[in-house]
Amino acid sequence: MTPASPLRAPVVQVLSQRVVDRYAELSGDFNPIHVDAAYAARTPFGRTVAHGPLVLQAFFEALLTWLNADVLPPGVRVQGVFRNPTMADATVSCHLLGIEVENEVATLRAECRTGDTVAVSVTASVPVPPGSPARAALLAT
Amino acid sequence: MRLAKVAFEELREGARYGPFRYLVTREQSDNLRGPVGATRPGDSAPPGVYPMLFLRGFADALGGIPPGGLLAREELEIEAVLPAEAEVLVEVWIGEKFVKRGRPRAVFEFAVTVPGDKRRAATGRMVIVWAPVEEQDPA
Repeated sequence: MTPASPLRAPVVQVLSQRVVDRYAELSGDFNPIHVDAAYAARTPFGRTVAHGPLVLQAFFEALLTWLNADVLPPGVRVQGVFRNPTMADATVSCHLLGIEVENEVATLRAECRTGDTVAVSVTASVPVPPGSPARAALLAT
Repeated sequence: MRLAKVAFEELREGARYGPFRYLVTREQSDNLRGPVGATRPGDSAPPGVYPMLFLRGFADALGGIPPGGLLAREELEIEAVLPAEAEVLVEVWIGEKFVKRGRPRAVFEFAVTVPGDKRRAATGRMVIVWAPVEEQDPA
């Protein structure tokens, strides 16, 4: 197993209500918990909640930043476990917690947080064949 | 506004829906590329296209995430990189349905293929969890 490089700076993004509304249009998921402030105010959340996959979308951008890549190559696997809801207008910061490279696959552990609250824990497996830019980016010091 | 009308009790393990045909547009790809909320042009479909397609498939299969259900887990395996604009087929099926620690759970599986050459572009799954049975509103 190759020792991990120093971990990367967090990638910070804002999931504004405008972004949540746009994601509802893109995905067809108009559940009022995401887009109807009056409805959401009557729920235990008290306000609109971002779509879970939108939080994962924040992670994708972080992953691409850490890989210094524009696209994820075939063979990538991503598993996200949603720990807490992410309210609309939240600032989400994605933190890279660990990198392990074994043979030609890198396994990254990450969390996307709102403040100190973990929104989603993510494990991603990325093919990193020798000589690939992704491998170089992950192992760069 | 669409909301699923299917309750957990009505979900049938192994039930299959679709394939649903979608056109991933360049605009959608650009909206899902780069930082959340930004629009960034590019030639390939970004990874965020797949969860979007899963939700679209969910909406067409069941009207969306079933009532009271929360997304607890999502998985994605990318098998091919799609162009920024691409026609795809999305199949949805119910992989598992069970109760764990008093909470009903269902695993929805998704497969995205490219029509014509039947090439698989991605697979994924969403685990939906409901409140413990004793806390659910009988209405």
